[in-house]
Amino acid sequence: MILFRLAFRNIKAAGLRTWLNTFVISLTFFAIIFLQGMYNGMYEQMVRVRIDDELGHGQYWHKNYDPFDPLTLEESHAPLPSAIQPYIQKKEAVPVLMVPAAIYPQGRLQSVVLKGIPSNQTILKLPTSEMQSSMQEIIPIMMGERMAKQTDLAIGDTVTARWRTNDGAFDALELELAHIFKTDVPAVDFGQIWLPLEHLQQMFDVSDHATIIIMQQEAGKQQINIQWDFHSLETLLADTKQFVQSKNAGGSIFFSLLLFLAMIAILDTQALSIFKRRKEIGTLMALGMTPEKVLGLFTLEGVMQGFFAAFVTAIWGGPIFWYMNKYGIRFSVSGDQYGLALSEILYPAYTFNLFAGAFMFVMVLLVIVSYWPVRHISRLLPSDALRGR
Amino acid sequence: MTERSIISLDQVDKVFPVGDGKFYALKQIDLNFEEGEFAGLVGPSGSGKTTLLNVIGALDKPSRGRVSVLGQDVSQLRAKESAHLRSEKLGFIFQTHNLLPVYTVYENIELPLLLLRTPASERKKMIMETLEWVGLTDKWKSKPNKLSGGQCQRAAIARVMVKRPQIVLADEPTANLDAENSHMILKTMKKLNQELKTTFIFSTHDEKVIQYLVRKITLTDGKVTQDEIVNKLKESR
Repeated sequence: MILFRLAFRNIKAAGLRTWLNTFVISLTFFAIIFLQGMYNGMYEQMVRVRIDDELGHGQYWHKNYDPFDPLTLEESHAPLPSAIQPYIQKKEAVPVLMVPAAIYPQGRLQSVVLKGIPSNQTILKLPTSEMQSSMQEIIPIMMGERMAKQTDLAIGDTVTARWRTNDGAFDALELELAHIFKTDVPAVDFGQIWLPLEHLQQMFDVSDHATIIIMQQEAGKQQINIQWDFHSLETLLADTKQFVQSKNAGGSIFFSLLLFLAMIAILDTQALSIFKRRKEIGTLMALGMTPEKVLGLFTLEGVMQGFFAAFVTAIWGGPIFWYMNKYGIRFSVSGDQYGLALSEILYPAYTFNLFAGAFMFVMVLLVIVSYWPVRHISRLLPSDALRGR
Repeated sequence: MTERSIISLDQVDKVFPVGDGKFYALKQIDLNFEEGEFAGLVGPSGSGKTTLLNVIGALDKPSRGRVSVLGQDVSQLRAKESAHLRSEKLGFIFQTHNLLPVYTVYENIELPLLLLRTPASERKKMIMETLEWVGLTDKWKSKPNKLSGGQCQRAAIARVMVKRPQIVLADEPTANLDAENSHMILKTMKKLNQELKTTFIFSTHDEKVIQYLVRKITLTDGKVTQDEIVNKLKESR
C-alpha cells in the first residue's frame, strides 16, 4: 500500500513528464482499440451480409461445382436428393440452380450466370418475392444494382438471354427485369441474374435439379447424409476471415509503431529517473526501504502511468468509440469496388474483450519497460546510491 | 566489547578498488559505543568518517572484521535484514538534508512511519509532536524548496527522530549551515539525546559540532588515532 501511495505521489509530482507519457500511452490505447474495433466491425459486417445474402448457414454443393470455374457449371447439377426434400418443404433449405448464359443488353454480349431460386424462399434476404412479371409469357428476373448499372438495364426492361440446354442445344428467351436489389455482397450481384427456380429448370430442361443447396441456421449445423459435398459456414467464411486477418496484420504495424513510441517514452523516463533520482534511491534505502521495494516503487510508477493513461483514454476516447459504434464511419469508397462485402458505412465493433485485451497487452509491456531499466537497483548498495554511483 | 555496548567494531577494514590498486578507507578499527552516547568522528576529509558511519549504519559492508549493531552482525546481514535494521533502529542525517523534493515536510517525516506500518492516527500525532520538537509546526505543508537550509536540516532531523531510533548517525549535519542554524540544530539533537537517550554519532570537522561532543574519536587515514572523553560536563549542557 505504501508503494502505491509513494508511486502516486511521485507521478503526480512529475507534472509535465507524467502528462507526456500519459498522452503517448493514451494515444496507443486509442489506436489499438480503434483499429481492432474497425477490423472486428468489418468482419462482423462482412459475415452478416454474406450469411444474409449469399451463404445461409452452410451449403451442400454438387460434387462438380467449383465457384471459381464457371466452365464446370453445365456439369454441376443433379436432382435434389430425397433426404433434403423435407428440409426444403419446411423452408429450412433452399436449392439454387446455376446455368451459364449470355445476355445481350443494348446489343452487347455479356456472359452471366443465371441463378434459379424459389421466389418464396426465406433463407436468403434477397428480395426473391419481387420476381413477378407483368406479362405471363415473359420470365421475371432480378439483379443487383451493380449489375443493372453495368448492363444499363432498368426495371421493366427486357433483355435476351441465350443458353445451352441440358441436351446441348442452344435456346434463347426474353427476360424482364422485375426488380433491382441493393446488396453489400458483390458475389451475388456482378454477373448474376436471378430468376424463379422453376422457370430456370424449364429453360434448362431439367426437373427438380439444383447446383447448390443453402441451409437455414439450425439445419446447417447438422450434416445430412447425401452424396453432395457439405460446406459448413466456417469453411465458407474462411476467405473473409483470412482477408480481415491480413488487414489486421497490416494495421498492427501502425499501432506497433505507436506502442514502440510509448514504450520508448516510459523506458526513457525510467532510465532518466535512475540517474536523476540516485540520491532519492539511497535515501529511501537509508530510511529502511528494501532494494526490492525501491525496485517495486519505480516499476509501479511506470505501471500507474498505464492505468492513468487508460483512464484518460476512457474520458476522451470513450465518447468517440460510442459515436463511431452508433453512427459508423462513412468511407468515400465502398468496399465492393474491391470485391468486398462492405458497405460505405462501417460500424466498428467494440467488445469488453477488446478493451480488456488492449489494456492487458499494454500493461504487460509497461511492466516490462518499467522494470527493465531499474532492475539493477536490487543489487545496489545504499552507500553507492547515496554517493550517486 | 563491553556489556553495555550497543555498537562494536572489531578489526574492521574497508577497502575500495582504485584502478589496479586498493584504497584502505578504514584500517583495523576497534571501537565500542554505549547507549546514550553523544560521540563524534573527527578528522580531515578522506579520513574515513563517512565510510565508518556507513558501515555502522549497514549502508555498506566491511571488507574485513566484525561490526555488531544492537546485537546484529552487520557484515552478515542480507539486504532485507539490513533494511529492517535501518528502518526500525537506526536514523541517518546527511550533510545535505536529502529530503524528497516532491513531498511536503509532513510527507517526508511520515515516510519512515509508513515503512514501519504505523497506524494513521498514531502517525499524525507522532509527526506533529516531532515537528514541535524541531520548531517546524508552521511549515508542515511546505515543500523542501520553500524552506531555508536550516529548516530543511531540522525537517531531516524530524524525519529521523519521528520513529524514535536507538541510534542516530549524522554525517556532517552542519556542513551547509551558518553558525546560528548549526547551534540550533545541535541543541535540538542534544535535547533529543538527553530526553530520549538516543545514541548520536556524528562525523564532523566542524568546530561548532566538536564543542557539543562528549566523546571525540579522531580518525586519520582510516585509523583511529585518538579516542577521548572531551568533557563529561557537556552531557548536562
